[in-house]
Amino acid sequence: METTLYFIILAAVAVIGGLLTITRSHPLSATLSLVVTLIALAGLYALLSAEFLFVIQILVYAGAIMALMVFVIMLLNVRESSFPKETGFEVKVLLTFALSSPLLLTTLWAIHQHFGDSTFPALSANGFGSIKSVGLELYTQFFFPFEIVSILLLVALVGVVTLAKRRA
Amino acid sequence: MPGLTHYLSVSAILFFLGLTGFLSRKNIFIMLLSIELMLNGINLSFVAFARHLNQMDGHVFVFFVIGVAAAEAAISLALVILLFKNRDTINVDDYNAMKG
Amino acid sequence: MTTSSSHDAILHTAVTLQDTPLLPAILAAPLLGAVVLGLLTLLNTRKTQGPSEQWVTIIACAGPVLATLLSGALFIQMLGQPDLVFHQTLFSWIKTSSFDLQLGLTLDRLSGLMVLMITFIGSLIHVFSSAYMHGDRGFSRYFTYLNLFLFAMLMLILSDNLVGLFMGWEGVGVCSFLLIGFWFNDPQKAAAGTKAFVVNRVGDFGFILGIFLLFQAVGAFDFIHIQEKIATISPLQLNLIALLLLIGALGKSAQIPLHVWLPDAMAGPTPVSALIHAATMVTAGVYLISRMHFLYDLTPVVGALIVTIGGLTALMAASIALVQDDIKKVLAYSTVSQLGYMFMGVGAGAYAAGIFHVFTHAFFKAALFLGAGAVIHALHHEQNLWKMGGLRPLLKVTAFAMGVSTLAIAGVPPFAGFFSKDEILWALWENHYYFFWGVGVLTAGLTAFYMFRLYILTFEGTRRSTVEVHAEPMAMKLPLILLGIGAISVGVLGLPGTLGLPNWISHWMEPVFGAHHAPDNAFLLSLGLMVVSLSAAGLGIVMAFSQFYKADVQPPADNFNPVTLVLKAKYGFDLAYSYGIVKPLMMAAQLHKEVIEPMLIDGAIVIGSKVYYVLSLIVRTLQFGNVRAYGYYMLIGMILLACFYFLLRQPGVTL
Repeated sequence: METTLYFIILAAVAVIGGLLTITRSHPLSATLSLVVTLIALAGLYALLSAEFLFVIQILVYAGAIMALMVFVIMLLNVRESSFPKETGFEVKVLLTFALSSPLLLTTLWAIHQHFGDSTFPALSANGFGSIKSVGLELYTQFFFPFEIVSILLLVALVGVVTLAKRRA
Repeated sequence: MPGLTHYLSVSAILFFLGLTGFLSRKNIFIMLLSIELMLNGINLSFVAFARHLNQMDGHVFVFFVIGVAAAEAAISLALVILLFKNRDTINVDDYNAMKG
Repeated sequence: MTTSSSHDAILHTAVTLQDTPLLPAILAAPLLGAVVLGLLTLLNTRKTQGPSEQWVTIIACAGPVLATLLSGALFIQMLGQPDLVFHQTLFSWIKTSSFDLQLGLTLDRLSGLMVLMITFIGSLIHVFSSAYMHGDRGFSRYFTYLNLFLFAMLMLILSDNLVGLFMGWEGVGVCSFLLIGFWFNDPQKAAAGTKAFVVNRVGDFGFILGIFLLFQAVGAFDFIHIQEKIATISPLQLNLIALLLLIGALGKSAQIPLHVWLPDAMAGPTPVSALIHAATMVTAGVYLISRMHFLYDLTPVVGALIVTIGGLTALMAASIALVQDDIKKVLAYSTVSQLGYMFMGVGAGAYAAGIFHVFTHAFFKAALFLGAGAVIHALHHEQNLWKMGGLRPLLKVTAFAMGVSTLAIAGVPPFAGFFSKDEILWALWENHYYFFWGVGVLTAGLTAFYMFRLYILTFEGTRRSTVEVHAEPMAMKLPLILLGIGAISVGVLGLPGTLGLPNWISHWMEPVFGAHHAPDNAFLLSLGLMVVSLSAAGLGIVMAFSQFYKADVQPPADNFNPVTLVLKAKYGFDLAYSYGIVKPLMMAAQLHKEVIEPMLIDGAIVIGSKVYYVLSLIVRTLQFGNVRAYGYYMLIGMILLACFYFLLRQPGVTL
């Protein structure tokens, strides 16, 4: 029963955070709203017994990536006056959401149609979602993509340094 | 007990919020945040499916998505810095050098 | 004529192959020289002075002399052993599942004789050139090409397969082109080089088609395998192959209708004319036919065609030589004429006689060309016969060498040319080519006439030019003396067997071409034929003396005698090619340039580009340059995909 409660709270926080993210005019408040969403999502991962991802979501996503975002926003120090003139963007957001809502509703309908009231099966006992089991997956079955991702990160690192060094 | 349907619904809503943000805002930072929002919506569905199917593959995928998102965020922020230095604006509508 | 079965017996039961590293060394010596000299030349291109001439001479002559010694050593080993064939596989060049092309070298009695002759005469001409080219800015470049030529020529002769032979064949063609156009600042000389190259391409085209066809038929390139399987080819295909290979030989050996390049090739330095365009390269065609004798033995029709072409060429070139005033042009036409002789010989199946004539001709024609070079050198590049005269006291050695060579080419016994020419004439008679025997005799008479005309006008009478004459330097005298001695003496290698005398050459070639015994009752007949050809030559000599051996000989006035006109116009071959091939091609090219290219090709492209431009005007309005617009496009795409998906789920809808 408390699982349902946690789910409702976390889902509501996530959705509200997402809504705030796209409706703040200052990027810093939007970023902080997204951090709230990410932490709520981490909670949802925990509910789904994904311990490893729970940790990663908070450490890497909410911690590192969003901190980077905040750094850049503060580094650029964009004056309020040079923000794009977005008078009445709330209306625009609403309109766009309304425009895409048929698709959303179709998706929700499809989800409901397809999965209905299915409940999650009982967990297999071998430490589902633990750090050890994810690590085993990564280093056995997904070894090659894992290496590719590390190379991608290296490339990104070099690319960022090159871009940042360039004189404007 | 919340089931797969609920998680997927949350995931879809988050994704569409991100989409809406991306399509309606002009501030480049908020657009980037919207992309992150969409990615996270998808991540949630991955994890939910992993739980539903009792298989770990979804977790690995989420791990990869986080890795790619980190790379993407780094690169895109570097680009934003360059763009801002060159154009002195963060309004994407002003970045129209490729107009046909 | 011998049958092919006897060849097989000789070639496959008795031959002992012996590996020797000396064979690649023969090839490597001139190649190394060419590489070293080429690097020296390249290093000095930007300087006003080339590399030191002494050093270049030493490096340039070392390769050929070494090759001569090596081939001499191998030749001596072969002397007592008729079944000995040297062979060395170099490396596997092209290897596929279906065949393996081994690049190999072989030295049998045929190639042994050719290699010895080429390296020996090549060395002499290198020595001569060092004096002739003295002071030329391109001294080292010249010797680079000359060494490279020698390498390619040896490759041609030594290769044990058709592909290697073709590589050498093309190599000598390139070197010939480079050396004809050696003084490329003169557009006429450069054009002569181009002409030689292009005409040779026509021949090579046939040659390479022949090689392909032969490979298709027998699946091998090397001569031994080709010979083994030659009997399995259908007669039609065999004749076609023989014809295509003949086209290649015609181009390289300047026979009708591809002879037009050789007279123009005299634009190159004179020693080049001696080496490439008289002694060695142009005889490659004769060598090719002799090398493929097992093929031509089976195709008597093509053999008759070779005799016909050779006879016509011999007569035509000899008649043109009558009216030429340029000393080198006379010799050039004389070369074409003698090559015609050789073709008659090999066409009639007398390969040994043909090769014997190649051998003797190399000596006396090299001597003649080098003598002409010495005369030209002495007279400061004067080539007109009518401006020479009276040079004998001033150029004694040259006069000696050219004198004996003239006697040799005219067919006076006991000089070299008499024996080889007579062998060919006898072979023609013996194989019932009586008409071409007559052509040969007539050509012999003409040859005697124009060669003595050349000799008399150059060395006898009074001097008709006032320029100061250089004496020949030592480096010119030595080759001239050696070649002159050769022109006198090499004939004894092939004394007429019909008279009961030992014919060493014919005997030497037996392992290659098969045994050939003169009929026993031919003594009187052959003696009679000899007397006829001798009297023809004697008549020519007498006429030449009566017409030109006088103190105040004058060039003939320009007369419009039709015969002279035809001869001066070289039977109109150049004119016919110019109007029949070159001009129409130029016109067609002009037509393409003026009409078809701008209208059809350019036009189509321009119209196409206009269409694309108009279309792009429409399409590019979709590119707002606005990121969010592209986001909307993606959304629309997503919706369409979703619709499509649902559409597919409807009953009765299938892709």
